Amino acid sequence: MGVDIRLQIVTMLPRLRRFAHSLAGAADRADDLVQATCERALAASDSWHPGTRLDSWLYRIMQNLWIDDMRRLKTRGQEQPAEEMFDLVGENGIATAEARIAAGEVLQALTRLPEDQRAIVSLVCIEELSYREVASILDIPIGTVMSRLARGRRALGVLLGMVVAETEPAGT
Amino acid sequence: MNQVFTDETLVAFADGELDDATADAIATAIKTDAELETRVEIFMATRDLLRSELGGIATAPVPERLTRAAMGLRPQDAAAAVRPQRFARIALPMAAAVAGIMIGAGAYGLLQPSGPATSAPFALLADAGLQGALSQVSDGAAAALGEGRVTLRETYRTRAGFCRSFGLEAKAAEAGRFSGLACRAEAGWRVELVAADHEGNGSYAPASGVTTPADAFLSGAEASDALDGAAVRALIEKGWR
Repeated sequence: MGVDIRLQIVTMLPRLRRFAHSLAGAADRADDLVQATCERALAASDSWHPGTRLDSWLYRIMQNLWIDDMRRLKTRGQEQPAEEMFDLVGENGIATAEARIAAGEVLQALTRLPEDQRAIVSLVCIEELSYREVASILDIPIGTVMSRLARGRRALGVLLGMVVAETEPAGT
Repeated sequence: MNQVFTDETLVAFADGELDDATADAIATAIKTDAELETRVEIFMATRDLLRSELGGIATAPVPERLTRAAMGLRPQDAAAAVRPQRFARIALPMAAAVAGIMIGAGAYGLLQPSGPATSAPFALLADAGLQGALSQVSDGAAAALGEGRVTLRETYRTRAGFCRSFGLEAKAAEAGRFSGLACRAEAGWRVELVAADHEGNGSYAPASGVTTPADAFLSGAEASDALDGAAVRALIEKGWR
């Protein structure tokens, strides 16, 4: 007898809440996203193959639901994420920046990343999945995972004051 | 002349996703290249910050509405008992009084623990080894599960089939202990209920004359007295037929 998928989803709830939090940026919207994910997962439970990774399947469902949400929000003129960051120069102020970062600032900076970078940064750095697993969940090449991951973390570095961006774009 | 490494290579280095040869080359280059070192530090620092700031969300109590959603209970489903009838009258007020988790086959609804909620009981219940333990382990003996241990306690013959009470202990001591009841169905064992054990100060202490949910269930299911060890071993050998 297989283990009830519902019990397995319950064991995933803390991680799902954490991923949702990084996407949605606020606790109540995050929990709404988790609830929608559970409902969708149970409705589509036949499409999960026992023996394959349930967490990957659930992360993917959540990511897709969230992309749909973002599309709806964009048409209503929500704040646009931070622009692409330019090449970085400046003093090594990482340690001082880290000491100064206020609670909530990291989450706020994360929500300013473009969606594609945000999800990847979260899955790698917070959910601690491998690049290969993330590529599989998002159905993109591993090289794309790496380039978005690098851009996203550099952008966070600037947003959090770790390094200073040049005032002119590099290479012009 | 300093080697040129792309950001993609450096982030993979920071995350331990690089082959040893390239990783060694970078580790060496960092020693003499301050700019390279800075670039790597940004990747490492952002990863550490993300984990330390946001990682903890996974240890916070899970709101009940999400546990209900995961179990497929819709918001409007009340904690209604289906059968046995006697249990229904006993269980609902008991369910309110006991600060524990109960999982029926969708029938008894869900409560959240009063203390810091973890997913510990669910991880143990979802463990594939639990089914095997219920089928194979004698009363009084224990079996290891991935995340802890199950101890079989007593076995009864009831209107709901053979039922066995058990204790669950999570490896992480702070996750607590649980007591449960499972009954034998066609395809395996169905966990009828699980409740958190309470110990220590301020914990729930049953008033005299009040039964536990397991007692109430067994009473409603017209359970026999607990079977003796030999009878249980015979059932194990016969595959619970």
